[in-house]
Amino acid sequence: MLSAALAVVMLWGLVLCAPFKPVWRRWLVTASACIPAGLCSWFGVQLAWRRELYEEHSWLSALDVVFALQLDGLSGIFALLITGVGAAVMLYSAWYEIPKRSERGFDALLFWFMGAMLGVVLADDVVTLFVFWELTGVISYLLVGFRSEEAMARRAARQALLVTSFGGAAMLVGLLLLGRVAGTFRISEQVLTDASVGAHPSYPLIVMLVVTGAFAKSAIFPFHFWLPGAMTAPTPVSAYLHSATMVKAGVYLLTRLTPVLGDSTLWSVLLAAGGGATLLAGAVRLVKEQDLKRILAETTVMGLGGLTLLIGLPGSHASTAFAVFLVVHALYKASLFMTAGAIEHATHTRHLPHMGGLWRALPKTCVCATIGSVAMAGMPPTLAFIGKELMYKATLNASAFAGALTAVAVIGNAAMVCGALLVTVRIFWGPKKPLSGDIHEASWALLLAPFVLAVASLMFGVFHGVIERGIVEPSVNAVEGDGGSKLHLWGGFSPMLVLSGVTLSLGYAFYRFRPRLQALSAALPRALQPRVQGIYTGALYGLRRSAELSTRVVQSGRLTIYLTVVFSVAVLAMAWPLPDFVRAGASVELRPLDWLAAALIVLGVVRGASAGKRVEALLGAAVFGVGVGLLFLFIGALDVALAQFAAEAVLLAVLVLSTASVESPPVKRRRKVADATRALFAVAAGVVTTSAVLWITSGRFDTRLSDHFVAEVSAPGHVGSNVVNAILVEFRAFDTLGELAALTAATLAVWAAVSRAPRGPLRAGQARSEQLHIFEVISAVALPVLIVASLWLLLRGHHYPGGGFVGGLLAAGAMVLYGLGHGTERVAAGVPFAPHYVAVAGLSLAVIAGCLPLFVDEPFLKSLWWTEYLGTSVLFELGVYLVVVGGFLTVASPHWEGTRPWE
Amino acid sequence: MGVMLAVLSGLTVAGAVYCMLARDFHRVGVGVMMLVSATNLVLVAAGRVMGRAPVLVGDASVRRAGEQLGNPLPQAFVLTAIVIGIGVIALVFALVRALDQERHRLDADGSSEEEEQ
Repeated sequence: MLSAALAVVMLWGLVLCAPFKPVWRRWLVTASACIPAGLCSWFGVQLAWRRELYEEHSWLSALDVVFALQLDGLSGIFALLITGVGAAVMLYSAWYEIPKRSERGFDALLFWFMGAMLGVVLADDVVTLFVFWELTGVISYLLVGFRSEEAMARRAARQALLVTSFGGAAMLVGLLLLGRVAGTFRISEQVLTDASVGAHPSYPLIVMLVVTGAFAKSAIFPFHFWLPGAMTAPTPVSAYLHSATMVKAGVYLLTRLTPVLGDSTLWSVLLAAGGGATLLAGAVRLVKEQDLKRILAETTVMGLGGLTLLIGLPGSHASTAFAVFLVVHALYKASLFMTAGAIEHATHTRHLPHMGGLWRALPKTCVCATIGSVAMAGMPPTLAFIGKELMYKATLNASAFAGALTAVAVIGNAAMVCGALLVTVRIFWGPKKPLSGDIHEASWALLLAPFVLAVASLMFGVFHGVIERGIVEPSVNAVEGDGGSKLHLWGGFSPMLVLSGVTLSLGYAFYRFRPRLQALSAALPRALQPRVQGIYTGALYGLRRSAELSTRVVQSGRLTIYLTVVFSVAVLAMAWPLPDFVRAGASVELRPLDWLAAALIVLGVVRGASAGKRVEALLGAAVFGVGVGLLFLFIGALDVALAQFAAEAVLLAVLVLSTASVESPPVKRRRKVADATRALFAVAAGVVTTSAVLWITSGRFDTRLSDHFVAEVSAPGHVGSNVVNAILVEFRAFDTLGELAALTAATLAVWAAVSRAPRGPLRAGQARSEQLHIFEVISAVALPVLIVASLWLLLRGHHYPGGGFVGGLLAAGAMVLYGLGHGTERVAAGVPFAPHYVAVAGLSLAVIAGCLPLFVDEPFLKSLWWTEYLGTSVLFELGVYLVVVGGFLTVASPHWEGTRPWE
Repeated sequence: MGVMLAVLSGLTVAGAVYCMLARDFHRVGVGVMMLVSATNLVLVAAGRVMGRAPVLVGDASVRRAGEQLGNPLPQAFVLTAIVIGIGVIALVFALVRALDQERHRLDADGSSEEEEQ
């Protein structure tokens, strides 16, 4: 039944999202007020008949979390408020004109908020409660910032969200800890459990965390600053969220957990201190405010402080006072907010000094405001008067600091009286101030809701028996276990009555001497003026600044910095395990020719790194490449050596000509420090690499895989003798296919980049390839020879050194050299297809060659032979050949000046 | 041979890092070339050079008496690495060339030619 109620509310919110014409919308929302009104009556009946409802659905059973709802006296009183005030707010909102009314979500958001808030007060399981808690926070963010085009609204919404969510996070930790300590997440069971939470060592931590969350939500000191800021919200939002519901969530939680966490000095001290400080802070800020809604906000803050104070005080007087105050505060505050909205609607301003003598122009509004203010001031015969007397009784009977607590309560209530006077006397009576624009009073439909609420606070005071039996008793019962104190309007001449009188007079004094008090507070030195909000703004500012700073340092946009960081991390990571003593493992003996290769490598590296001009560096790289190729040759890696030589030769020819044909940048000043750091990193990287390689090679080596491949190829039925080639094309053909795909993709990427890049004018350098006659002559002769040789290498690759990779490199190199000598148009004439197509064709051929065995029930890419030199592997190699040719031509093409031959 | 390969790869890595930290993009490209080859040397070293005979079996074998066959696996790796490496190197230098064609030629520190003067 409870979850059904929640579901109805949420779903109706969805209905309200649909686009309706504004005229229909008004009546639809008015009619929607029946839903919360109905729920309110239902809750009231349950409460009156003392029925308690429980409901649970399994949710996260592995984590022991249950979606559990319960309705008892305490939940009931809150649920009554939520739905009752909710009905009034819906009625009000229907007739309230928000300038951007075309935003459809407003009424839906209000309904969803109602549902979420109901979920908070009905939840029995702490995780369920947290979920609904955060949901109210999110929806309130959307509602407070509803006029999102105003910067102030956005800022206020963000501030409210950040502060309450910060508290919510702390609260979650505290609740989970509590669940652990108590052994269950169900609050109703936590109350019953024998495990005394109070004696557990984590108890203070739990209390601090939970109290932080509740304080943040209910705007208790030191989190009280977000509430006045949230007054940028449209008035229905202020009337609902910030007076009757959301801010009461923290108070609800504290009350709900009092049986579990209460009964200790820490609890009482925290709550009493927080509540008292809030009362004083609100009073001080009230004196300075000139905005109508912010004045009401400060009185709300004070009211919440008073409620918190009452929770902290043990005893039935305090609990009863709490219940009474809860009800009446919601009633009159919502009513006053709505009235303030009506005043603003009529006069288009909220600034207090601009208003005066409006009773003639706004009679109905005046009546509403007056009744509500009488309640706020706590004058008899309103329910608030009863509540105030009970409050004084509770503070006077407090076990410690009775005098201080009472004084604080008096000051707070006096400030409320002052606020009440400001809202009525200042605005409606007194000298008439001139107002710009014409004043037209709001319709009675708009004023109906606040009127009803205000009258209710009056009526419940007179007929307080209903309240006492129906509402107060069950709620106090739920917390204390016994019925509360009796409510009476007239308790005889008692200290409380005296205090009430003192409060009224003090309040009037505040009102009369407000200008003097304002001057006094302005004259205070800055150090004494409380600036809690400054901490929040300062924290946000500091966060943003540090983010900017760290981004500027880390993301400097300089490649050298990025690379330095990368290499440093790599070097450190490799250097970590190396203190082990490194020995070289066994390997072949060195021969004299090996030293030749090594010398070339060293020479090439040194020259390449230290050269001044670009071309010199490339030549150094060329020498280095030859050295590496020779080294491969001398250790018997013939295929690899062939590939290395072919690749190096052609690549460097292309690069040198490309580099030389463009003007080199002027040689920059060498910066000593920068060079030294570079050298340092380089040496570190080199040392670490050498040690790492020595360490690797000193370990045991498992030769099983290599032996397996050699044995496979040596087997009698196998066609082919070149083991390396067999690995690439037969045993690991799938990997090679993947590499072909990668090469093709890179080819296409280069082609795409090249074809789209705008070609700016080149600064011409000294060399122009057409002038190199030696190229012209030699390449004309060499081209056909090299092409034939490449094909020969391709076909013999399976039995002798060679293969598709080497053949492709040779062919592509020959074509590139020819292009350098004779111009690229001649190459294009010879190869009619654009090179990237050739690469794609090669990839397709390789895949087809792999698919052929499938037709004879053999696996993909299995090597099948028709004759000694013709088989699926040869087709595969041809595919490799084409991919390499196409790829190499494409990546070389950006270096050919001017022309784009294949377009 | 193992020690020589270790020393050579360390030296090449040092040269490569030195080049890659340079301000001129062209030099960064040269560094990339060196790094690719250095990695190939490391691969060969890791495969342990236990023999110098080319890995050909059967009729094509050129093994002399007393010689061991080389390790075919790292040779296969390095072969593909070389091919892919030249693709990468050519791409880097294509980017260098494109940067050279910009009106304000940039270097690795993000400052342009004009500012240097």
